[in-house]
Parts: sequence; structure tokens; C-alpha cells
Amino acid sequence: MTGKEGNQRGEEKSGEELPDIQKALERDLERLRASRPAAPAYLQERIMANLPERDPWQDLLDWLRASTWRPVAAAALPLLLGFTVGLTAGDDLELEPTTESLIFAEVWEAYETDEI
Amino acid sequence: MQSQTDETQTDETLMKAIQRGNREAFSLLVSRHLDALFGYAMRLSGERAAAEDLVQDTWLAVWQKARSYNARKARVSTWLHRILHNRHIDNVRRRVPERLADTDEADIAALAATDDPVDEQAPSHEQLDKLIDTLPFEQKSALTLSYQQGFSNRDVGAIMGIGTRAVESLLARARKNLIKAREASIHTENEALP
Repeated sequence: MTGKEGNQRGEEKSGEELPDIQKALERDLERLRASRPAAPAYLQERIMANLPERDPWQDLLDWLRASTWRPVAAAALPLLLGFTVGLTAGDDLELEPTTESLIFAEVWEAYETDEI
Repeated sequence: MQSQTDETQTDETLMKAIQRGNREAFSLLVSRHLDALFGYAMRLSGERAAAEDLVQDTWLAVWQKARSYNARKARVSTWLHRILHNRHIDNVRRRVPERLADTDEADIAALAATDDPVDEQAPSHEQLDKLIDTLPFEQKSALTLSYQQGFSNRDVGAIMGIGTRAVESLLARARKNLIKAREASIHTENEALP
């Protein structure tokens, strides 16, 4: 038998048996889960033994990155704080006439004595 | 009061405890998912020692990046597999960049030409393992995550960072390639017959 004839026979055979091959493959793939290798017993101990202390700054960064709203909220916080302070303490920040007089007292005095 | 690291706690509850730095919760989570991650790592790396290192690296990253876990985005098992998958890609890229290229045909043809014929009706696990190992990285990952690890196509997509359609396409191509490799083995057998 020539090589070409052999190939033809193989192609015919595979053409006929293709559904069987597909079924067998699907069956074997479904069994993959049961044949999964188990981790060695020492691996968990090795993992736990090599666990480092966590970096709090890295924790904070990771917490910020976990959701979109977190960095937005963190960025908006100083702004909100500024608004709140501005709204509640707005009147207190204005200079009272007495304070103003104290600050400029020396200037007024010099002005009045014609030094300026 | 129920312990924070009770066996009945969900993975998500354990993750919250881990985010606060609870080592006991971490240990429990490791014991729950170690075999699954090791199985996937074995399939990706192909070597026991490399798989152990990959799994250890993954758990280290889980501990250090615990705060970045968001239960609304993914289940814990999906998140763990995604970390392992990405770390493996990083490792391989660092070593041999071309290993991840989608050049499947040559590998499959090489396997078919070996003296290890594959019985089309009842192949051993080793033979199936060898066939799967010849698949291109993306197809092998999708197939392993879907069949061996039992993830839905949506989760496989989340782990691999691709869409569900792409996963379906990868699975179809993987099955086609496996069938092609089996057929090639049968041809080799037939030609060897007197």
C-alpha cells in the first residue's frame, strides 16, 4: 500500500469517526476536574511562613484603587472641608473695626503727625 | 459570638477580615483555594516546582493587595485565578516573550508525530494532558478554566481579561485543535500498520 492510499484510508476513517472522537473528547474533558492534582501539604505552611507585614500606605493606595468613587471622594474631601469652613466661619473671618484700628494704629498715628 | 474565621464564613467575609490584616482568615482562605490554584498553576507552568512558586507568589500578592478586592466586581475564586493568571503571564514575558505567541499548528503537528499514539476512544489522562499542553497559551487557559476549574464562560473571561464571545471562540478552537491532534495520531497509527 502506498503512502497516499494510507492517507486516504486514514482520512476516510477519521471522517466517519469524527462524531465519536468529539464525544470522547467532551467526555474526557468533563473528567478533567476529577483528575486535578492536589497541592503538596507543605505548600500552605510555606505560604504562611513567608507572609510579610502589610504596608499601611500600600493598603491605603489599594483601598483607593478598588472603586472609582473612592479616589473621587478622597479628592473632594478637602474641597468640602473648605466649603464648610467657609460657610460657617465666613462672618468671623472679617476684620472687626477695632482689630482694623489696632493694625493700622501706627500708620494712622504717623499720618496724623504728618510723618507720611 | 461567631468567630471571624469560622469554617462556615463565606469567602467574601473572609476577605473582609483579611483586608483588616487577619492572618487566621487568610490561612482559611488559602486552605479552601490552594488545590484549585495549584491545579491551574500546574497546567500553566507544566512543572511542579514552578507551579509551587507561582501559587506562593499569588498568595503573597493576595495578602498584600487584599484591599484592592471588590466583592461587587468578582467572586473571590475568580479574583484569585485572575491574579495567578496575570502573574504567570508576567513571569513568562520576563523569561521568553515569544512563548505566549499563538503559534499552535507546529506544536500540534509535533505531538502527532511522536511515538505516543492516542487512542481515540479512551485516552489516558496523561495523553489528554499532553494534548492540552500543546495548545497555545490562551486556548489552554480557557479550556483549563472552563473544564478543570469549572468556571462559567463569563468568569473565564473575567480571569483572562477578555469577553465571553472571545472565550467561546477560544474553547471552540481548542476543541478543534485537540480533535485534529487526535486524528493526526490515528493517521500515524494507521500508516504504521503493515
